[in-house]
Amino acid sequence: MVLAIESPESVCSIDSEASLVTVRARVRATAVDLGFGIVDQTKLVTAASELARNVLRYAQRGRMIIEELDNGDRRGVRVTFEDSGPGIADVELALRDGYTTGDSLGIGLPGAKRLVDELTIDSRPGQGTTVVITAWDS
Amino acid sequence: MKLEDATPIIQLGEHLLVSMQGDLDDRAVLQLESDITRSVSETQATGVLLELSGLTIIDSFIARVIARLAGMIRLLGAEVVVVGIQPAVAITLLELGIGMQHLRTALNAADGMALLHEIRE
Amino acid sequence: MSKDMTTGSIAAPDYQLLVDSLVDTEVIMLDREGTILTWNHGAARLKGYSGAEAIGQNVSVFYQPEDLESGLMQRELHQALESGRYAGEGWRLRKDGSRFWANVVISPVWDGNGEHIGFVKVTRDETERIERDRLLQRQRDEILELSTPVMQIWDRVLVLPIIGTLDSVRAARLTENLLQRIASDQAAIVILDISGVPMIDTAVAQHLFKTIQGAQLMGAQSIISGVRPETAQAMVHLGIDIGTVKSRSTLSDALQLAFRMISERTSGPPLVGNGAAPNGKTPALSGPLA
Repeated sequence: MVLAIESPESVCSIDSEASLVTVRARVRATAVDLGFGIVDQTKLVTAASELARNVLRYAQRGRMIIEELDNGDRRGVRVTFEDSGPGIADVELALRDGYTTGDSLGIGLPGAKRLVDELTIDSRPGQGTTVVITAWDS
Repeated sequence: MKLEDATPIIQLGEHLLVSMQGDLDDRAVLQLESDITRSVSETQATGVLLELSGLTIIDSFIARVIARLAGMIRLLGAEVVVVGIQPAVAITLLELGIGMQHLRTALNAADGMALLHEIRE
Repeated sequence: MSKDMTTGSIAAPDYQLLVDSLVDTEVIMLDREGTILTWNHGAARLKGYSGAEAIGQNVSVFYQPEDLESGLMQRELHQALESGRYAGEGWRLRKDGSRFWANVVISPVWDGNGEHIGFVKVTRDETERIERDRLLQRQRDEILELSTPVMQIWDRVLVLPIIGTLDSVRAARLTENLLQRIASDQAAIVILDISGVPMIDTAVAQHLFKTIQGAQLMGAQSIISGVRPETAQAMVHLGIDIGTVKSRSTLSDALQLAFRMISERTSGPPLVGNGAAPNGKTPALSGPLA
């Protein structure tokens, strides 16, 4: 059973390069608050930065939602990135190393996945993409 | 925030020391790229020390800029040594799949400076 | 079967008998709002309330205040009703205020006309299991810590003897420890001694390379030592290329190499230029550029 605690500051819009700094600061603050070690903090913030950048690159705008988790044993955080951009036609392909449609090196999604405990994608072409990452305190 | 405050470029003899700090937004990073290349060409520097101990994260974008920057500096006839990458940042880069194998690295500015001299030998 | 039971095809006294025979499992009925309707021996033993004390109370008394505040109880009942079953685990409270780790299953109950009338809640105490798991995890962490010692053998030289097999968890821990030591000791050279690794396969080799790459990112050079002949054969057959990483068969050879590398560094090549080295200048600080 996972208990999610929502707080008012948990939503953050992504609409410019400047919002990446806000995204990173919010995620870092949550990780610090949860007592994550420096390596886990850095991994999570980097993953969030990659995903927020994807939102900007492919959908121009979207939002991030941060939730703190508690499964009774460990504390964690779930970060959701939502956009209503073009969507990803083949999610499985997008998670494969080396895949890209933008001008990146194609490490965005698979790279972010390696940095967290869980990454799930829900995408509908033409409607948008939701990427959810979860990280637990190790 | 003025960029000069965030990223000082300091001349040490024939070398430049660039200390990247804080959470740079993309514009600041790109601005830095043009500042450094201009400085290298104006000062005829033979080496550039990129000091990254103040960076708390390096995502794929920043990593790409650093790699690109190193390429530009080499084209301008100077050598590049990257120093001071934090352990947590290094681990994250490895997980991301960014090895930056083509970059010369050193542990701190003093070692980096010695390496720059060594390369010029 | 559970449906039959809850729709009342078992006579009520039989049902109570059955439920009461469960001494270490709580099986209770709740109405739609969570008010406790029945109590059993298991519930009394687990929570410390007698039937008279518990019946008529709301099930919320067993929840921790922060869980109630976050709406956990409503979510559980809601999910049970929506999906036909709720299963979960978490801390709950006993009468004396102490907490226990509860494994909870909640199912909705319908009357003969299909009307929702309440819930059956089955709770087991899993505190021992969770504490055992935690202890195990802590021991595992301690063993991991012990099995990846990083030793400073000389000024700026670290040795990392790797003993046993290297899985991804251990490799990650090892890399983390090593990189932190490189930073704190300002180590220039790292010797990875693999003589204690029984077998190097591609996965282990990849872990090792990641560690070496991490050290390299931070500016430290790596030397591999303790490669046995059969390991060397296996690595080449597997197509593992150690690239430019230096390797020595024994730890003492690796140490000698490390000392030589260190002394070459400190003897300052640019100052004692043997040949036409024009750059003998010592660097001078000359202010920030405009």
